Amino acid sequence: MTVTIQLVEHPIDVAASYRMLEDVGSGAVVLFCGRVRDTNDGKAVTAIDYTAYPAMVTAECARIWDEAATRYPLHRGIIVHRIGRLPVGTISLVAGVAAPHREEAFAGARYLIEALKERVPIWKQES
Amino acid sequence: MKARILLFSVIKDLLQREAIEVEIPTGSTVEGLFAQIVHQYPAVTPWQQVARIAINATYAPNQTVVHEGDEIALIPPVAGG
Repeated sequence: MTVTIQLVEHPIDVAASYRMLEDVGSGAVVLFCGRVRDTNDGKAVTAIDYTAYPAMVTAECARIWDEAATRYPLHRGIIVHRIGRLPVGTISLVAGVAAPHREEAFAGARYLIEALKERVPIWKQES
Repeated sequence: MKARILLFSVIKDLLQREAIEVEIPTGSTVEGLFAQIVHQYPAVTPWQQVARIAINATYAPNQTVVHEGDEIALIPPVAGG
């Protein structure tokens, strides 16, 4: 079980993220991309400023991966979050897994995303 | 002992500082630390029920003992993704 965890300030390369999930024993790959939307709570958004506590982002994502990989037979994982000022349409998060079958791939990816949103010390400010 | 607490997001903006220091008795718990933070910085009071303390990059339950040299952070509600 191999996981890639990154906190970046540059554009996220989705194709490179997919390549990190290559594994001949995995028939299913689920890769989620989160993007900056143009509205939030009914208000127009032009950009989101993301900030983070880097040391704990890495540590907490590692814990989340360990939990997910204990619950589901995951072979590969990736979590990449971008921080800084991101305009509408920018990819802020890529999170995904590779697993033998689609059932665990969807469930594992969902687990990563939901846990990240609940626990990882990243914050946003819409403008 | 002195405890240095890293600040982030709304609480950092509120106090206009990247970190604060409070004096706590040796053997204090996270609960005691938080009470001292609120005592010294009353503006943090509204965040007491929703912010969490992390010690050495891990969320710390209320009864966790704070040690000299711990990296302490006050974590407001997160919003990643």
